[in-house]
Amino acid sequence: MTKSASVSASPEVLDEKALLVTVGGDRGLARELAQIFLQELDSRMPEMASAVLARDKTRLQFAAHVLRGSAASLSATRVTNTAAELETMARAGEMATADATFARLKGELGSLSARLTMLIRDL
Amino acid sequence: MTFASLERPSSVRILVAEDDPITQRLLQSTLARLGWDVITAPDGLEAWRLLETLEGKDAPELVLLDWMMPGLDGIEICRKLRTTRGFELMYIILLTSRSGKEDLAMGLAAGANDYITKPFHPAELESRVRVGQRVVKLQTSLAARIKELEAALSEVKQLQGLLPICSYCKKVRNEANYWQQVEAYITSTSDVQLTHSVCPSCMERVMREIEEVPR
Repeated sequence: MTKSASVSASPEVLDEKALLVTVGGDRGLARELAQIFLQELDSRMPEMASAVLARDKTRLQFAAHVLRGSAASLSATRVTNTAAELETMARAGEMATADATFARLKGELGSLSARLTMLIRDL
Repeated sequence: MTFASLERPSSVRILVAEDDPITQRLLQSTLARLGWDVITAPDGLEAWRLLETLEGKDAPELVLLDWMMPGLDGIEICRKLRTTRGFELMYIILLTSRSGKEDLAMGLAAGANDYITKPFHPAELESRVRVGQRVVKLQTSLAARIKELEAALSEVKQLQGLLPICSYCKKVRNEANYWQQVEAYITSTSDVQLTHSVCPSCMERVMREIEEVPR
C-alpha cells in the first residue's frame, strides 16, 4: 500500500485494516474481492436504478441486501449503511425518499470504486 | 494462531450456499485455507440440488446457508432438511446480516444448529465450523457404534421362557417337540460351548465306585 493511498482514504469509505483482518492477511484475496465488487457493480447498479424507478420493493430489497453484504465484507462502512437504509425502506414499503437515498448511494459508490481501484493497484 | 495448527480438520466436506459473490469467495477461501473441503452454490435451488444429488464421500456433512437467497432461502432449506429422510442430522449454520433475537430464534426454530452474523470474523467462523465438525464426528461415531451393537445383538442367541425337562433322564423338550440331551440343546440354542469336567461330589462318588469294584 502506498503512503498517498492511506492518507487519501476516508476510513468510512473503506477500512483497509479491517479488510485485511477479514481476509486473514491475504492481500491477493483482498485484491480479488475488490475486483469482484467492481465487476458486480456493472450489473448491480442498473438493476437497482430500475427497481427504484419502478418502485419495485422486492427487487430493490434484494439488490440492496446483496450490495450491503458485499460492502460489509469489504469493510466499506458508508456504502454498507446506505444500502441498509434502502433495504429497510424497501422492506417497509416506504419508497418516498428512495430516489434521494439511491442518489447518495451512487455518490458513495463512486468514492468506494476509486478507493478500490487504488487498492487493486497498490496491494 | 488458528486451531488448525492444533488439530487438522480432516475430511469434513462443507457446502456453502451464498448468492453474494464476495461473501461466497471469502467463505470459500477462508474455509479452504483452514483445510476444509468446500463446495459452493450461488443460490438456494442449486444448494438443494447438490444436497439431493451428492452421495457418499462427495456429500457434504455440514452446510453454511445464507438466510436471504433467491429461489429458496436458507430458512426454507433448513426446514426441508429437517423433514427429509437422510438429512435430519445435517449440521446447519445460518449466515445472515440479521442480528435480532427474534431472527436468531426463528433461524434455530427452522432447524439451524448455529448462526453467524455477517460480516463474519474469520476466527469466529473457524470456531463455529469446528464445533460443527466435532458434532458431526460424534454423530458419525455414535451411529457406527449403534450399528455395531445392532449387528452384535442380532447374533446373540438368548435362552428364555419355560423349558420342559425330564425329571429322570434330564432331557429337555425343544421347540420341535423333540426330547434332547441338555448338552446338545444348550449348544444348539446359544453361543455357549461346553467343556467336559467332573464336579467334586461326582468325583467322590465315582472314586468310591471304582474302589468297590472287586479286583
